[in-house]
Amino acid sequence: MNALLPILEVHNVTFGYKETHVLENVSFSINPTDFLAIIGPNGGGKTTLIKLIMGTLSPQQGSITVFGETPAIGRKYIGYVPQFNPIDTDYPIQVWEVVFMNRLLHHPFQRYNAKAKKDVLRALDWVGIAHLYHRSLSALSGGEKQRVFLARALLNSPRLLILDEPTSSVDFYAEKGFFELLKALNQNMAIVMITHDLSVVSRTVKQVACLNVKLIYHGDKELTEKDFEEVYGCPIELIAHGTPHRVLGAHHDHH
Amino acid sequence: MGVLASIACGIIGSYVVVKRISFISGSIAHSAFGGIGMSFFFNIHPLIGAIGFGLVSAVIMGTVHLRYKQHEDTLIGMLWAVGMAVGILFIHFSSGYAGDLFSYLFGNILVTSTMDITLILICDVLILITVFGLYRAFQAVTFDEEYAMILNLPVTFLYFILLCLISFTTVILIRVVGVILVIALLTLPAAAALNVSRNLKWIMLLSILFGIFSTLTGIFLSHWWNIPASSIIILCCASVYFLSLGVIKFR
Repeated sequence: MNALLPILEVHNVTFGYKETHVLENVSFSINPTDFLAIIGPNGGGKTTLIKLIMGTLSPQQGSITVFGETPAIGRKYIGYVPQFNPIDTDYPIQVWEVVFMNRLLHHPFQRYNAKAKKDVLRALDWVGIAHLYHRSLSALSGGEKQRVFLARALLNSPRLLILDEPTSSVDFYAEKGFFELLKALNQNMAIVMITHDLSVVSRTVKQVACLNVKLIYHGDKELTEKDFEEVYGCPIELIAHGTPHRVLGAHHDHH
Repeated sequence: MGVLASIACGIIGSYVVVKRISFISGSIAHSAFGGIGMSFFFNIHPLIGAIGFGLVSAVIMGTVHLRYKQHEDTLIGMLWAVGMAVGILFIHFSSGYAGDLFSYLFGNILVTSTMDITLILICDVLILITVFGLYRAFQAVTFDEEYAMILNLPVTFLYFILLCLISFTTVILIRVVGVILVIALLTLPAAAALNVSRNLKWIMLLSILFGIFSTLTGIFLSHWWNIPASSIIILCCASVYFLSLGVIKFR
């Protein structure tokens, strides 16, 4: 597989309900070693974009190619971590069962054998929660639950990892290891992360895109005040982060 | 017979409770009454009509869930009532006296025919084979439907199968406690089991045991005191459930 070809291509995608456009003419691509953060206000289309990439929705215009195939076919090479949903986490299921769920993607009828167990333990180990193997999902903290879903996404060794608001459960964010973990994972796969958390953006990612119906892509991370205004629609207080990465361009000495 | 019914009810009831679709199940059960009425009219075995109607309403409920979600609540209620109404209508026009009517509304577990047992046995076997074969798939679909779609599971198809299994089960339970009390027998043992265990296989086993306990106690006491079995069975289920609440507090 040519390491230089983009693994994900979104081309002029437009999507909407009746009169309103949720996404308009969105284009960007992801390469095998990218680490992209997609930021933007609520309602700006971030989750819709993910659904289009995963193939649960189809664009009205434009196209999406995942590993050279349509989303419905290519999505089996993607590891997906959905947004943390605090509503129904009372379902009686154990951690290893949640992770094993992803095996259905490639082998719908496989029984849980020794090899499967090995793979599950490896995925759990990768995110540092092998000790939670037998625990009931409902008994875990928010942060631990997110790690379980991350382990699930990693079970089949995906080449692209998509995370939807991974820091939205507070104590997860408090765990320092998370960002180091993502950096380590990025050695083996591309990562696309939707986030509200700008400090995450400054610490870990390589590329940033601002999405509010339209998408403004930044190959590096130099974002100016004007970019944020355009995306969020109102002037925001900007906090500059220090070396080695500057998310926000210095106010006056740029452009 | 109570034992056989409890097997189906324990397994399927667990899915119903865990996926919170008790009202859909109630709707299927009550609309099956339409099938019972129709069976009286055409002079065929009532359970066959019930199964037919049950499957039709399962298909309707499935389509509604997937296409018309906003109207789901109303349509559940409507199917419920329309089924009952159709049943009443057919019975009215049936020739002869529908003496069995009471037993279909309120259950009459003490009087069962060979045909009943055969049908229930078939349903039990179908349920066991399906659940055993599709265990992981059902788990994914009942846990998170949207994620299951991404796993390339035929979510629509599996949901329909689940609803069909529910309609088989409710038809069996109609014989035990009657149309009106079916929801209770379907959900109470499983809900009680849910309070005690966090492992789906254990929950199914426990709800089967609770079901067996309740139905056998019900049959025994109703024989002894000469009162309708269905009422005792349900009261038994309810007591087990309240006891299970005590288990949570104990933890």
